[in-house]
Amino acid sequence: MMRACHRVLEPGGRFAFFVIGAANDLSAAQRRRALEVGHLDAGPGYPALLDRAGFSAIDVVDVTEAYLATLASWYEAYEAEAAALEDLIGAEDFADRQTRRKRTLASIEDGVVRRFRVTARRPPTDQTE
Amino acid sequence: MTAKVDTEMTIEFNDRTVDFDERYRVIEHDVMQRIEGRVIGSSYGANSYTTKVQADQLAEVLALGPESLLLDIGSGAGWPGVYLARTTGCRVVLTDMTIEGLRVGASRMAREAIAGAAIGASGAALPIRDEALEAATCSDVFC
Repeated sequence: MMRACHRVLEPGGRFAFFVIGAANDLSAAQRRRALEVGHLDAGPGYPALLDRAGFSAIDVVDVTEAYLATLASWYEAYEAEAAALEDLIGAEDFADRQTRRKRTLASIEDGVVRRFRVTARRPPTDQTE
Repeated sequence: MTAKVDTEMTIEFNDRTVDFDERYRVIEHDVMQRIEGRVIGSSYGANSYTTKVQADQLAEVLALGPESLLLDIGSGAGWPGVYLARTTGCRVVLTDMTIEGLRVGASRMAREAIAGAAIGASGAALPIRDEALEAATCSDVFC
């Protein structure tokens, strides 16, 4: 997808995205836990992937603290509207979403899952192609 | 499930599948709008964790303005792409695999007279010509 973005951006074009993933330097058990709550393993990391795709001016900002607050807010807002949501989406789906949120909240608090804002730029003159 | 993206990143999920079309069919319901407003500060059927404050930061780092053409990959119903178009005046192209989400986003673009398009496509195979865009974004698509 990063190569596809690079292709459609004009020289000098900007790319900024948020991504949730397993933290770096995890044990095998912690990595499995991150993947179990549905998050990807970025392998060599986003800067390396962007660099290989031809991007420059790559910057990564850790926004995990805000992610934790927002996810907790999703959980609490769903609890506050539980009856209406169970009518709308069904009790099983409601319970499934909340269970996953609780597991992810615990994974964030334990440092296993993190969220980042990544920015990069297609160089004004490509050196890679 | 294991999916290959480009040739260098393997995305591993657990075995669940999520029917996003089903989810987007209810996003305009009152209770969903109340929750989204409380959590994200938006009303676009957002299911990511990008808050309004963070969306405004995207506008800054992407240097969006009326001359910009923005691509929002995995846009769902248009958060944050349509919001960024409304607040900066840029044009926006929404892309996603959920047609129901795109339907909601395209309707909103039409209602708010926002220029752009909504395209059902994978982010890895964008049906867009080379060097067509000034900016691209996505929120929590790789997760």
